[in-house]
Amino acid sequence: MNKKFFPYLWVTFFLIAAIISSIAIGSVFISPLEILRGLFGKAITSSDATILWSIRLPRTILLALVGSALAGSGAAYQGLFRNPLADPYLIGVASGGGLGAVFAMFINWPYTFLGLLAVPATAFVASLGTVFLVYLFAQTRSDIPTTNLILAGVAVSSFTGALTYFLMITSTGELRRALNWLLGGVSLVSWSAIGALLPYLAIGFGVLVISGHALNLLQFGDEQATQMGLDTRKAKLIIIAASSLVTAAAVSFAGIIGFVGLVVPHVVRIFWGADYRRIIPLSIIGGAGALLFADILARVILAPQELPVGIVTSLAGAPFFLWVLRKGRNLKYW
Amino acid sequence: MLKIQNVSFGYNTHQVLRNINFETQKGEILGVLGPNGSGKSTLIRCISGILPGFSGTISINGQSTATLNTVKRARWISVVPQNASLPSAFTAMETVLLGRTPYINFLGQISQLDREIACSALEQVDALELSERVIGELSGGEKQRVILARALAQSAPIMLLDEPTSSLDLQHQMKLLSLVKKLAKENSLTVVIALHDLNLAARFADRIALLVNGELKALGTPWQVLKADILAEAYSWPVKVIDHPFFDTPLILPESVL
Repeated sequence: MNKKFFPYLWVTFFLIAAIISSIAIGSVFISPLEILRGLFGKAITSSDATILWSIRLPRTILLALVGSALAGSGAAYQGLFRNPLADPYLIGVASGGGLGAVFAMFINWPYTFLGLLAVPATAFVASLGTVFLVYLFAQTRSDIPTTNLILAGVAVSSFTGALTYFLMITSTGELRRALNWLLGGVSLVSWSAIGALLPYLAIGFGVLVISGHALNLLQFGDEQATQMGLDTRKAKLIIIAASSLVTAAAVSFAGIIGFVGLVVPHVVRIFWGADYRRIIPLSIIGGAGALLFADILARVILAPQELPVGIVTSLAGAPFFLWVLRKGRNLKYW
Repeated sequence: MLKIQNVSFGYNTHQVLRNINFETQKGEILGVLGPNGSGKSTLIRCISGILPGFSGTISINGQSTATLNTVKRARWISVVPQNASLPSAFTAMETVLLGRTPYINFLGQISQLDREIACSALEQVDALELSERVIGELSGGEKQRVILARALAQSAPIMLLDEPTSSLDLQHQMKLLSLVKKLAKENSLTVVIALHDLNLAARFADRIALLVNGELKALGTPWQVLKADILAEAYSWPVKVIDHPFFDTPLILPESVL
């Protein structure tokens, strides 16, 4: 087996298993055979067809996209900041998006606004606006020091987070909905949501995947990277823009889902090494599968009630990650 | 080849380099000496392009480095930095391949030629057997050879080394500098190397530039620069200089008391 493609085989297998399970499992079980028949246009019962096409399939695709966005941008941020604790939310995407979403809920904007869904639209704009603000605070005349970015990110996040909680405490009506959103309650599942998400993810993933070499260089620090021929300022700007774009898009529709973006890149790194040209695409594929499995749990643990998937990613993800960490503890993977 | 004209550099009010002038020839090893804080590293960093705020001109074959973008500069100048921070999880091969950055397209694709050049660079520094080992498992001397190979893979005619031997033991110091000398000859590299050890500089440099307080105090062959009076003044410590018993170089012996 070619060593280079072996990891891709593994994560793709993982993703396919996740997709099939995610479509099959729920209040009504649809057998994998039925799923395949349905997907390829063969006759299945009409209730199965409805569940398949209107509920399970859009949810599965949306969550897969969100998972890949979080894991892909998490991997990029860990590389960019050279920090194993970095996650996609480090420089304000989540807190900004949270503020935007909660704001839209509490001023009781109509459900749609200029033809867009109000909550995701405001969340998206607020996410990117917050990152831009962080970037402005962090940059110097000639560079974007990553320490500045982290610190500005923490400060701005703390500020927008406080504003969000302020909004939640001063009003009562939408508290549950807001909390659900902040914990990653994927509530806006539809084919049109997927359609809205796709262009941003396509652009962002494209950029991230070809940024692997630049991320490898950045692991040696800005000075060495420059001496080897990387325009570090430009590279950082492009990577931040692409990561923020995909994360903001994901957060807009799925809320704040924690842990996936932190853990998936580490698992990939522990198994398959430090080369970001591989970590990024493998995280994108693996992140999709990981979030799908978490979502299955979120749907079945308290069925028929549905948990916000953000709770499950941390509940199930943390022990899993600790286990992987123990297994890989002799490796110099970071 | 490499020409430094009226180069000065300072942080706010603190002047680190004052009006430095010198020129190097193709295939020459220029040793940069000087006490701690004399500006050796700063000079190297100015030449390598990571301190853009200097005044004066640094030019290569008549072209100012300030007009070069990062990629073009990296095709001319490679650097072996001082105490380079190295991510431990990369393999030696992955590290050396990064030296090919100035020749890789925006998709980041590494060609067969890049691989061959990386292999031959590892071979030249006698580290081919390390290629699949991760950096974190290598010894100090091995790491330094990998970084040297990475700089070689950049295929640049000028190589800057900033105290490459500072963390190495006697054997590895000698091995590394002999290697640099050999590589300079084989690849007709122009080498600018900051060194602490006067006797190593006497042994391996064709010419020596002595920096004191950011000023170029002396420039010339080891015999011309490494003189007792010049060194005593530069380092504020009395020294004796005698003929090396085995080589045609000066041998510098610090005196034991002031």
